[in-house]
Amino acid sequence: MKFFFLCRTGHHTSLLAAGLYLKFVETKTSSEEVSKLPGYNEIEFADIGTPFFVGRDHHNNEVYTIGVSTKPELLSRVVGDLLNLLNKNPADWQVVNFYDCVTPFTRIGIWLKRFKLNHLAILMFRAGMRKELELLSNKLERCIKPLYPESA
Amino acid sequence: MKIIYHCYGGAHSSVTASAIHLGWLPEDRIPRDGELLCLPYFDRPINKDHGHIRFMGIDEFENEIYVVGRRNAKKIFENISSGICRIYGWQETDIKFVNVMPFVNWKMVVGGFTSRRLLFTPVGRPIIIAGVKDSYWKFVNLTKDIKKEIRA
Repeated sequence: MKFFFLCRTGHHTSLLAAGLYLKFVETKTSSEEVSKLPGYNEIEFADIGTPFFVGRDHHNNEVYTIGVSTKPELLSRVVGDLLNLLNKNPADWQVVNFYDCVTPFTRIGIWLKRFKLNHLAILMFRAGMRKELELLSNKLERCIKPLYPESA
Repeated sequence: MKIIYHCYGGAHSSVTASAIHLGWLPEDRIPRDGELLCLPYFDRPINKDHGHIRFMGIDEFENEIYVVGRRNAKKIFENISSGICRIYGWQETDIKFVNVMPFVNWKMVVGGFTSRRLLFTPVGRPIIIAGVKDSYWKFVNLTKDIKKEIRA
């Protein structure tokens, strides 16, 4: 099975979600440690949308993140329909949209990153991390736990 | 092979191009208004339909033809599409994305906005039809080029 986690860039909020799901990080992990997740904040804006492989869980399911910029409904429909087209069995994939877990701090951080104010951007990302990790953990419980009770 | 024609709203240019490809519209003359209005999805989709990849038909070479409206998220749509195809091992010989936007003219933009966004269909629709007729030969040439490419 393949999981596709969506957020604005695919390298911030959804990557935290993937990190939580794959147990690379926990909700209590420090922001500094969380920022060291492979791929975290490593995105060029022209590459938003390109799926990023994060890892495999202990059921050998693949976890990817995808950025949908500011069009979550539109592009999550594209992702879902494309997956349906390429792989007829819906049990083989799941799309989880973490757009609603993106905090204002992360939004501001992304905006700052656009203007190459990277140090300020990182401060914003870290400021929003604690709250996001809680939100993501709750959402993972709701979306993934029914499939794999031992995972979330 | 799957061929996906994409444009802003998935309501006019992509539908027209796919209809020409499928032989539903003539290649040797400009279609009448009624011929365009009979096309499935022509000037019908609204915002919530954007992002859905809709099946149009099968051409004479057994290729499946689809249309999708992706608004102004062209780059992200291309990144998502190519990325997901790569994940599933789909090659360029299996699936092709055709951007029809370069052939859209101002009448189609104005008419499309008036009809689909403002829902002033009696005003917008005749403007769109005039716009489609203005660009019609460009759509015909596009589909001829695509068919030549896929046969090569």
